[in-house]
Amino acid sequence: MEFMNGLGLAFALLGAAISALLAGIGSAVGVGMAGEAAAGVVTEDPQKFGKVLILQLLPGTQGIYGLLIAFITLSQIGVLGGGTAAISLAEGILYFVACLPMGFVGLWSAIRQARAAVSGIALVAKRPDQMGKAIIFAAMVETYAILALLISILSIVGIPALGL
Amino acid sequence: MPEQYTYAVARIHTKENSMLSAQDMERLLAASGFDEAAGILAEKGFDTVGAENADEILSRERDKTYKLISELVNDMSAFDIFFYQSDFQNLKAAVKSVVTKDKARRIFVDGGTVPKELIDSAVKNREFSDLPEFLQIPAEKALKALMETGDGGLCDVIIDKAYLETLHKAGDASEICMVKNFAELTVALADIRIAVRGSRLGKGLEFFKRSLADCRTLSKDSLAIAAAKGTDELDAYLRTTNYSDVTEIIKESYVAFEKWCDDRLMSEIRKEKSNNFTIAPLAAYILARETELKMVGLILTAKQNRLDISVVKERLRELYV
Repeated sequence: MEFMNGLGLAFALLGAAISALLAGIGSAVGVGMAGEAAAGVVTEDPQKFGKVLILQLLPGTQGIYGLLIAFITLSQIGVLGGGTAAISLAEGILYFVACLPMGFVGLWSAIRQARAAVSGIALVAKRPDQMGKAIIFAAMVETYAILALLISILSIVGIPALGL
Repeated sequence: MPEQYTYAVARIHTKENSMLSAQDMERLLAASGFDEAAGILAEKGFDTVGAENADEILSRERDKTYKLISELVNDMSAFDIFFYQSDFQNLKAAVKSVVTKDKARRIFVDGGTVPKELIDSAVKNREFSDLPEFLQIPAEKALKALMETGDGGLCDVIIDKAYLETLHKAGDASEICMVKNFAELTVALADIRIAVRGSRLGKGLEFFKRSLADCRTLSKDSLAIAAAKGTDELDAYLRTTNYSDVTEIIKESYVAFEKWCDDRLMSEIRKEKSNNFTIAPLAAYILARETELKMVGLILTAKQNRLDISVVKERLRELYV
């Protein structure tokens, strides 16, 4: 029984790790990609630093969402509270599955958002007055990261109520 | 990974802001003389300090473009295709200078992939192996033809055809889709140009077979046969190709036809304006700058020689920005 509980805890921790890892990797790649484009623009026109910086930061949010999911999971399973609660194997698997939306959607949406941000940076480079639109194009991708965040939070918070 | 050019492309897209627009061209055309036109160019970032003629300004600007691109990419050979024209122009000059005893020396140009001095000395000393492979055979054949026949036109045909074949081969070998399309379009338009000119001059089938180069969008043989039969046959053949819209332009004037050819190339390049990740926008920038400098050269030369501005306007091409 103790082994099964340990396995449940391992699954829950794996879920938290995947959420933080994948979303973090996506954001790192995305912010890096947008940063390259931003640097290209600033090399030629340093006055556009403020504008391109905002666009560069947009793909960074997924990493924060992944971290948030990891925190909530760790808190739910008691790792953060000092003293781990007994987590059954079924509960552990459920925590693992609940973390997946944020991990995978975070990874993919950050990279796609970075591509939109790079295109937005190119737009701002040519037409600085179109900054608002450039942000909106990239921010649209954020919707799906937020949806994944919501579904992961609702699932994680709802698991204890199942009483497994 | 295509993203490896993200920085370079963003920088190039920012650089495109400083390229001349149609309004700038209008201002240049309206300038009262060379000095005022040079002043307008200086405002747009051209290096005109102390320049006494158009060539000097253009040469400085070409250097700037080359330096910028070489700063952004490690291997400039991807862009060789855009500089072959200068190599073959220098080959023509070198071959002719052997016969004219150096009188053709002034028509050597800068900006090729091979130093002009090397081409000159290799041809003069008949050491063709010193040249890169793509220049060896045309150099030998053109010099032999010129020595035997004294026909400068034949020499030009040999070198021009070799240029088109080299261009097409380089295009096929390129991994950049835009470069492939550029090579195909350049060769096809050159073939049409040869066919139109030759047909009007009543040239025979042999001339067209010797001059036309292979490409995918035109049948070299059908084009040669149609052009040899006359302008009506040529018109009928071109209507069956991707270039059917050229037939009406040809009837308008030769200047309009030349403009159509350059504008068609420009519309191909323009597709790269919204590309943010691959090397293609860099290639497009090189070509766009070259077109821009051609237009600037035309205007400055007209201003310097007080030519009628309507003649220049007729020859102005579409710009990239």
